[in-house]
Amino acid sequence: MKYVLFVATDPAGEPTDEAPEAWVKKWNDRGVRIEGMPLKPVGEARTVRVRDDHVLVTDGPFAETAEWIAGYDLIEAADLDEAIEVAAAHPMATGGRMEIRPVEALDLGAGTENVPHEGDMPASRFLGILRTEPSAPPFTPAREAVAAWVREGLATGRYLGGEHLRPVEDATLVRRRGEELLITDGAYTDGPGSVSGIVFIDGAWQEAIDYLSRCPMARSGSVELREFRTDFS
Amino acid sequence: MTHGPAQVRAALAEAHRAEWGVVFGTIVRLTGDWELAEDCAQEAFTRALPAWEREGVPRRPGAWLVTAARHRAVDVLRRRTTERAKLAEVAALRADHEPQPVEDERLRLIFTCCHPALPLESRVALTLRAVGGLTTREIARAFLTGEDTVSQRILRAKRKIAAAAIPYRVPLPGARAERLHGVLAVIYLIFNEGYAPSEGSTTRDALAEEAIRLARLVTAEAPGEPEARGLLALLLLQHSRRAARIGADGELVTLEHQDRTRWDHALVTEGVDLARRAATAGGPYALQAAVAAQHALAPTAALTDWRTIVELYDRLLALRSNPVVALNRAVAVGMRDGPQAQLDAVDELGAPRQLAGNHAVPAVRADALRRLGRLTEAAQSYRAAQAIAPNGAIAREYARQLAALGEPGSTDARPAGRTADHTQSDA
Repeated sequence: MKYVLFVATDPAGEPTDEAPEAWVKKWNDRGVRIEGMPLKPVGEARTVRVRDDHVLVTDGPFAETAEWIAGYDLIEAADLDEAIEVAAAHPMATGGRMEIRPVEALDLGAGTENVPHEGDMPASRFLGILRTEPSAPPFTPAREAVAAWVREGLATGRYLGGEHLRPVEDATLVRRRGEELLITDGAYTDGPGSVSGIVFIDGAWQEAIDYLSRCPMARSGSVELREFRTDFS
Repeated sequence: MTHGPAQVRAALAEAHRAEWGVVFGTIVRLTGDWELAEDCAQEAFTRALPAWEREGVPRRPGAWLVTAARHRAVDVLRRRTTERAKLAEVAALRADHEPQPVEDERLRLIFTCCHPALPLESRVALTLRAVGGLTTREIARAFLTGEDTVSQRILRAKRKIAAAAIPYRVPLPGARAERLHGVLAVIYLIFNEGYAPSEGSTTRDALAEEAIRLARLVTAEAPGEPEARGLLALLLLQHSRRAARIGADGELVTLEHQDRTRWDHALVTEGVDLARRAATAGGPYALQAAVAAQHALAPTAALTDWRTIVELYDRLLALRSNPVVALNRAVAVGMRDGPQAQLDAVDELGAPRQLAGNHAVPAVRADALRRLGRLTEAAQSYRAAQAIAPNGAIAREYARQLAALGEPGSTDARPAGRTADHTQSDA
């Protein structure tokens, strides 16, 4: 079963000097970790929304909390306990929070294979974090519209892959504080909206924003655009 | 051998209490389908009544019920046409040749229902439903919530188990101690809701008994866990006082004023014995049980060994600082060294966040002040305690204390008690 781990900062976390390299190597070697990348700090995030056919691009992340997503990892674990073991071993479980989200298979039809790239260093430059937003006008993206958006992205080389996540009710939060492993129900922010998926995008900022503004989820929620850190080795 | 209808009904009720978790858990293990397991377990118990009346109560009711539930599961799966159902059907059929019921079925069920990735209130509801076989209506009544709320919680828990792939198993030895703590906490929560309900009636014995049954299960099936034994000892000792805790007028009677002959001495003996065997490991439940055992062993309230109790509280606080334990320690210090020591110990606590709004803080202070003869201040503190008492019985107790100080507001002239029955809140 596939899980996305959101690596999130947490002001209440305990400072740790441990670098994630050992963690990456260990779980790569076991074939559990499929891929993952750290993101540039949240200061450079953009949030894209489409309301009444107007594209609204705002600076900053979708949630205005002190904590934010610092990276993601995609893993293949036997069950939640194994996913928890993987998440708990990450240094950011001590310094921040790890949110575990089961991935949902979403069949959008032919020509839309949601196969993320492999390896440590994805070709993509951006991660789009799709998010629901209760305050958005009622709008349910049609499967065909999403499929068309994916096909267009694949054809133009913008869309590199993505994952659709199971609802936030199935999120599990893992933290290490002191000697204790804290496993709790829920997502890293208790806001009314929730992350519903991720997509990998290639292109320059403006191209990425243009492409994301056509994502159906920009209408029913928002899309946070985040650049990958490139100094990661 | 045939049985009369009354005997069959009694046997079935006993089997429901003892075997529901095994029947339900077996189908979960075989098919991985919690919904199906519930329907099949229900069906097996429904079919048992006419069959047992006709053929007599089977020698091993549990095995009979598991077989009936499994047959039902295979029937249902045959009628479904999906590939997953076919796989589940094969799994359910193959088990025909396995010895059954599997011994640790209920332990596996308890650990899954109490998985820390589930919301706490769902863990409680799901454990009572899946392991204890309580209906949603019974759970709703016990927790004074709506039946819809309870079924929503159970549904949500079952969905998350399936969607997030929460494994159906007892955790591996490395993770077991950590997870066991969560299991024991859920059982303790269930007991406390029965022992000292957050509102409404003064006690709900059935819920307390269910918690004891769960604690017995964990203790029996995880015999190497002294904390499980410690929790069981603690619950037995607290439950042994249930008859003496409620006076003729329906009011709570404090430990000091309880008629000790009304304690359930079989439970006291068992609890004290278990507490002794758990104490060497010295975990938090074992230490709390040791405190309860000290009270149980004292022939009268006045002859309580407060010196030992203070020492036990010191050991508890050394494990983890806990303001509720510190407050109970203040009471014990007061009993050992007098009211001024109690007042000093309470004031030393300061105002920790976890004790904000806790009625016991002003009550313990009031008690010390009263014994020091500072009656005006004592009355002030009792009034503060009364204002934030969690239920009517406790509020009336404080009204009585005020009346005993010569304050208006009560016609009851019973002498003032010194301490609340404080051991229950040491979580």
